[in-house]
Amino acid sequence: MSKEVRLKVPFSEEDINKLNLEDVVYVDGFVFTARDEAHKRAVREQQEPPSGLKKFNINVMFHTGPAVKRENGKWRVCVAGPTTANRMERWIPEMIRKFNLRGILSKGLLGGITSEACVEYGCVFLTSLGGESAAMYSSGIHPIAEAVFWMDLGAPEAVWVLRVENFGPWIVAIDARGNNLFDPITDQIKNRILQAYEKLGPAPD
Amino acid sequence: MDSNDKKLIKPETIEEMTVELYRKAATTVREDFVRGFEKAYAQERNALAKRHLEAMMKNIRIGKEKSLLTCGDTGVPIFYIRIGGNIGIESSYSGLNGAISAIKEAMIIATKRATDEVPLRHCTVNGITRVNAETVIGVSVPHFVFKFDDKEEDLLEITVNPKGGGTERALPMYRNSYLYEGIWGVKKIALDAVVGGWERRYCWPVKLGVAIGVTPEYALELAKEAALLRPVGDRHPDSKVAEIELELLDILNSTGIGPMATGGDTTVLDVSMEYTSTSHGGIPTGVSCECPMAKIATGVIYPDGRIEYKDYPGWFKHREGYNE
Repeated sequence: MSKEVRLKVPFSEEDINKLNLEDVVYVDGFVFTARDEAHKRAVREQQEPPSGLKKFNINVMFHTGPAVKRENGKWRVCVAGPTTANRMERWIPEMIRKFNLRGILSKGLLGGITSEACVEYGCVFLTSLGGESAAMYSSGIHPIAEAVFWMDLGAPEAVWVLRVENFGPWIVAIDARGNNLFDPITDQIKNRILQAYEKLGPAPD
Repeated sequence: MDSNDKKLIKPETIEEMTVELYRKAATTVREDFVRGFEKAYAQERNALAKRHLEAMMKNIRIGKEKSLLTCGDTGVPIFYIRIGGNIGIESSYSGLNGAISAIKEAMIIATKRATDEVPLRHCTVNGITRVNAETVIGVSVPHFVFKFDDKEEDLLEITVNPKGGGTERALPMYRNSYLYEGIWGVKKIALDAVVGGWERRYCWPVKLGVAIGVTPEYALELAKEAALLRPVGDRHPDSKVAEIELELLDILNSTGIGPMATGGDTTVLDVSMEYTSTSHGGIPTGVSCECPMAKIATGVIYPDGRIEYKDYPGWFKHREGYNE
């Protein structure tokens, strides 16, 4: 039976070891954002994490590109909904290592290389309910951004520090032991897809 | 005063309506999609799928109540503009080009305003350099699609579609169905596209568009128009086409991909199929889709300046050369 928990960032090893597949997590504290370009900069271009990020002591990465607006000298976060994880998967194991991640908040699914990295470094992959659902997720995000780095990548691709409260729901999709919620589901879907081709029937002679 | 003056639509009216259409497209989801979700939720048997659908419906409610983006990917702006009857546009230039320029100028001003007022995310980047100019306007963006509908009454219909990138990346497919395969091949291409979309990952369920077009590029364009501009639950007036739509809906939902690809009965909310005549040498088939948060909104301006917001456009009201 899955459980519902609230976790504070930074996540501890103990926090994530207690999580099982399909548990529902709500997050409090600070998270940092990253999309494709930030992954590329950190991994392919081998840049160190922005130095200003250290003081926030964040070990949870949120895959998103926020919609922001400059107001009275501050950045207002209009919405930030999770974006598809698997576009970035090739870079994710190195992101986990480099940013000492214990959690990734994202959308969709990830596969074997992420499961292995989760075991090796002690991390969990948390996926969204209802896809991007930006309006719903944004109700857990403080409307003013705490900090931003790598703004030269463009606002959606920059690394933002966001304060979150009761931020979720997130479903545990890869636990710290490397179990992947999607492995059995993917097998089931593959079987069902074969049945769908059978339903279509053979090509006419 | 020339009697034609009465028919001139002011660019300011186009601008005002377009800004409002951006807001509607980005923060609300079209009613036919909402009804599609409700129906899918009632029929869905998979527990996790039900939770995804529930979250999506909650997201739609919050977006509408708080005027928040239902999806952060407000993408690149695409406009479908249907010019009905003998409508005219007030313009400092003359002729048809003058009218078109006036519409485009008003909508580009509206795009700049909406980017700031809604606001929209700056999703547009240069195709080569990938540089984000911190606006949604770029090289040939916004993208304009015009339709001149002389069977329609005097009106200007505008559909705004801030098109997100996820579905565009994953699913659309073009292929030529072999002649020996015929319509079976068309259905197989639709199924292959859905399976390919599942492998490349993005938000499910989608509304699928399938089209046989005059040539490859128009097949894809028509498939996209079918996906976006026809409502969920609408059937093609040609019963042969309607039958294919329903058969595909059944086949595609039997893939079990389900909402957010975690399994379930709801993979596509509906299938809309369109066709044109084509060469006897092939069956150019396109498949495209609209994502679940359906960022589309339509409005109409009449000659007296009156604005009316519509649930969906009349894009396919008069199919050319088609006898119902």
